[in-house]
Amino acid sequence: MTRPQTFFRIILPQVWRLALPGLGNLFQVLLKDTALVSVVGLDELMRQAYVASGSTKEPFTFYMAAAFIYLGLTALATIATMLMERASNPVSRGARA
Amino acid sequence: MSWDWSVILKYLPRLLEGTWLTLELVAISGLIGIILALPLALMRVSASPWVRAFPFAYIFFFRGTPLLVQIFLIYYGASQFEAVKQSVLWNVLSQPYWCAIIAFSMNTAAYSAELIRGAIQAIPRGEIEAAEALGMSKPLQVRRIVLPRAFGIVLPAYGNELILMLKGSSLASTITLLDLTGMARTIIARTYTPLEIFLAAGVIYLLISGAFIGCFRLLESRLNRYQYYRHQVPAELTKIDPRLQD
Repeated sequence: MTRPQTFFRIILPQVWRLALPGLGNLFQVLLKDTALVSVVGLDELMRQAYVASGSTKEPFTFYMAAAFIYLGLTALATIATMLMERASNPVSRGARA
Repeated sequence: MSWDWSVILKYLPRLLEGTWLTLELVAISGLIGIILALPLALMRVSASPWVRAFPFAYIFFFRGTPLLVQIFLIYYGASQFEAVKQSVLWNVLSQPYWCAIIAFSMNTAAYSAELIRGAIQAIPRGEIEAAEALGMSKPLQVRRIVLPRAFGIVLPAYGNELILMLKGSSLASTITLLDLTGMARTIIARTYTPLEIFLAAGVIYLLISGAFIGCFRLLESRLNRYQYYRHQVPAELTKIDPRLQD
């Protein structure tokens, strides 16, 4: 095999399987850190919750709603990572170890 | 654009004031967090699914939502309920300082509990079995074997968690607290030198986390020294069988 072939056929599939749990974790951290951009005024979920709770005087309701949306997103990310981990592992696909 | 070093020097005392509040927040909530984390972690490894359910839900919520949401939920959210406002709780919940401490403690408790759970499960099975064979009761096992062992295993990961908490504490500035970040923002509003002041604040955070890392290295080399101890095989034994050298 040529060097690029070795990389794409042998190294990358193995690296991918080993790196996936870490990458999934990192993705979740990033997902939660997006809440921070509301501090500089971007109109994302957290900012909307802030505005909505300011105009309705029901901060608990809206922050709780935001919390549950984030929770749903992280749960979804966890499930997606789990599926990808399973797909990247030949043993869990039925190959014999 | 001009770069002004003197503004850093001039406002350094105020920045250090903010640094003190940051350290205070980290220290107090770190302490409360670890006290909450221990029972959570022990419940989390319980054999009964009913006991495991609460810590699982708690950890899922606090690890699955941003820290900023948690802080706002406590600081702004509590005021929505008249019952809370009338009760003695309001003395605590109306102060941003205590709201920050509550949010950080509960957040770090969730992360630490998960770390401690990992450490408990990483204890070699044989050591628990040995404790059982010696007739130790469950609480005695936990006190003498499980917790001391888990403590050594969790140490490096906990140092990491403490640094994450230090950086997370900058969110206290969003609820009007004058911690290092809050103080930096206040100074910038007056002097309009964001680059210089944020650079100074960044360097201070860097120095604190450097100090944390150093402390944990020391602590680890002291508490886990058995791992680094070079085992000496008596000469008579290697004479009998040279393979014993390893």
